[in-house]
Amino acid sequence: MIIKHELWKIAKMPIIWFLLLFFIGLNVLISLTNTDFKEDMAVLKDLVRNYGHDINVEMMTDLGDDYEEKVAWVNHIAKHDGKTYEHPSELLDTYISEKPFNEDEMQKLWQYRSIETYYRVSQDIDEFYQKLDLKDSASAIIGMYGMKDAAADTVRDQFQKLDRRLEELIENGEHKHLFFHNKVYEMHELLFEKIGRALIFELMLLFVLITAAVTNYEFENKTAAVSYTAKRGRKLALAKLAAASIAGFFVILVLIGVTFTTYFLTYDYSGLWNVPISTYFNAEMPLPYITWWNLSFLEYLGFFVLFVIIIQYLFMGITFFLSIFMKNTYLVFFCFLIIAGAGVLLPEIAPHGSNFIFYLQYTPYVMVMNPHEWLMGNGPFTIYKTYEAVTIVVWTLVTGSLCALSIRRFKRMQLH
Amino acid sequence: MLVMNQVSKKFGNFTALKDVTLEFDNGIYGLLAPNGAGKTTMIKMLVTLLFPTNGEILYDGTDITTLDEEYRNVLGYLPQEFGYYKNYTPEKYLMYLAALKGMEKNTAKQKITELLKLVGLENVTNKKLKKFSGGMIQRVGIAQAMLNDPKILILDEPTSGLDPKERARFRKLLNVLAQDRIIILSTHIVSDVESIANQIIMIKDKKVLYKDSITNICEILEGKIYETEVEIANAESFRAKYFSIGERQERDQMTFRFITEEKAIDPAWRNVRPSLEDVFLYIYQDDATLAGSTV
Repeated sequence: MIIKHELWKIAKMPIIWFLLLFFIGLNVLISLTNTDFKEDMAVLKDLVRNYGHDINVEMMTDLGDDYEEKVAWVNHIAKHDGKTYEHPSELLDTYISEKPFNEDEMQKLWQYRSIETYYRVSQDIDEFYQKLDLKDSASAIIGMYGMKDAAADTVRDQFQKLDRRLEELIENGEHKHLFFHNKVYEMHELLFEKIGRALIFELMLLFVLITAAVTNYEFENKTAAVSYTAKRGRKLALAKLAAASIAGFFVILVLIGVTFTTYFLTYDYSGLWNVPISTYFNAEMPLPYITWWNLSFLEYLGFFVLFVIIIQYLFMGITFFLSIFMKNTYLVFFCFLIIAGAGVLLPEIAPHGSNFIFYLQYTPYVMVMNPHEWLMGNGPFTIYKTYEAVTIVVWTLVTGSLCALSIRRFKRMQLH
Repeated sequence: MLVMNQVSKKFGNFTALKDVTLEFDNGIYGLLAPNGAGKTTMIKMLVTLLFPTNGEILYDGTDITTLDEEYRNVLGYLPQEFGYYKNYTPEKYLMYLAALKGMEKNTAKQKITELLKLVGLENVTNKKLKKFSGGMIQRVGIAQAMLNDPKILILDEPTSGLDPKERARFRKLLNVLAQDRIIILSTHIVSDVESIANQIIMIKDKKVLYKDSITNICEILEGKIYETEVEIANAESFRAKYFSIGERQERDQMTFRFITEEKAIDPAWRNVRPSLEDVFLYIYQDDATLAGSTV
């Protein structure tokens, strides 16, 4: 009953609805940034439907046979110039400015060029992984960030562990699956970094606002003297926390729901849900994504959503703690931003020669900065296999204790 | 019975109340002191918003902090600054407070209808509180304090912001509510409690100075209050000589109401019965907030 009343207070805050609608609009816009590649990407759907996503000998033979037919067609339409083309891209590159072909032929040529990319890249995967040396990656990172002493040793040590995981990954064949060619399309970055980070920060704003506003509601409306002297007394703070949790979950459902619905309706992932996230095609940087566990795209997405939800509730806990002591939404909001800023900036100014720099990464504030590298060995400072788990468990305990402490303290707090 | 036992309250180095010992039985108690004397601090301790630095507050022999919900269940409180949700109707706001008081929905609805009628707001139950006048808001405040039919009703400066007509109405209302409960009425306006309080509590120098009936308190000044007429030209020297507690100008003369320990040395002096206000002004004569009262 009380929770219903507290929820009603949140529902009557226009700023929450305004921000929610604004963020939905923003996320829809971000989601649509790669629509130029939509047709191009549709080629992959056909390939997966015809050959499956697992790149093995049989699949490559079938695809190769099919590809030969396509190359034959390419040479057929190009017969007037007397040359033989080995790939559709050669013909396209030759006639890119002249365009002597009709519209249908051009469309087909672009499609074949995409197939060519998938076929030829698939052929080169083994060679790439044979040459991939994580020691070089470690040295490059150590040099790039000016690491030395213990910090440099840690990076080398972690890359050694990652190397063992890479061997396992190769043995499993996780790297050899068709997926969007993300060196071109950067779909992982779009979904988990651009949209993902936007979602995290938007939800953070909404969570902090909802929690602070409902917790401080009585003080800001000068009704504390009446509310907290009623039978329920200071326990009202618990009802407020419960209401903020429910409202927060609703906000998560709406924002993530609408954003992902837009994204997955725009970009067709059918047939790709079970592709390992560590597949070579998902690579966007010279070092491909290497998850510490064999995770499919769908599993990775599931973990992403789970982490986003947990982190938002951690932010809620911190905000609740601040609200109990500050009793002013604006003050809580700015204080939260200062803590978040400090959480992100402290590791930047830490000395790069000690392992302390790695310990400073274990905060939700740092964790949310690179959601596209969660559960992976790709972040130089968050390379630990248990980084996400430790961060979440430690901060759940810290935040839980802070909330328990603040509730206990609030029971005997002097309310002037 | 509600008991304050050797209660002191400090805010850092500042002592707001010192060794306050009081007992409250059923009846109306007027807590009378100028602003800043510690009335609100005392009230806030009685309603569990503040906690004593030393001493204890007992209800029926048990510390109120130990009683917790059980104590607040019999408590009704109208704070000095009664806050409200301006976009709520009185009915909706009272429903919320009833829920906080642990009342069942149907019981609450019935009680709210009854109370809004009692405070004369039955025709505006669906009007938003932001459209209410100060007096109407105060009546909503009284209604909320009465929601759980409290055994202890504490009202902090309940008439501030009310016009004289509304004050009179409020006093009448209190008389209706006064049966079988403890009512503590904190005020710095003497007339608020003069006609309705069974006992008056006066606080001075952080301590309880008097807790007695109005008649007994007024006896303090028995034979010491006079009225007399003085030429306007002599008013200044009269003021300098005697402690004036009220002045009124009539044509070319000033009528003084004043306090003196001397017997009537002038036959024109008329000995008058002391009122509670006279005592109040006498006790707090060195308090700056008392300047400017009239006879």
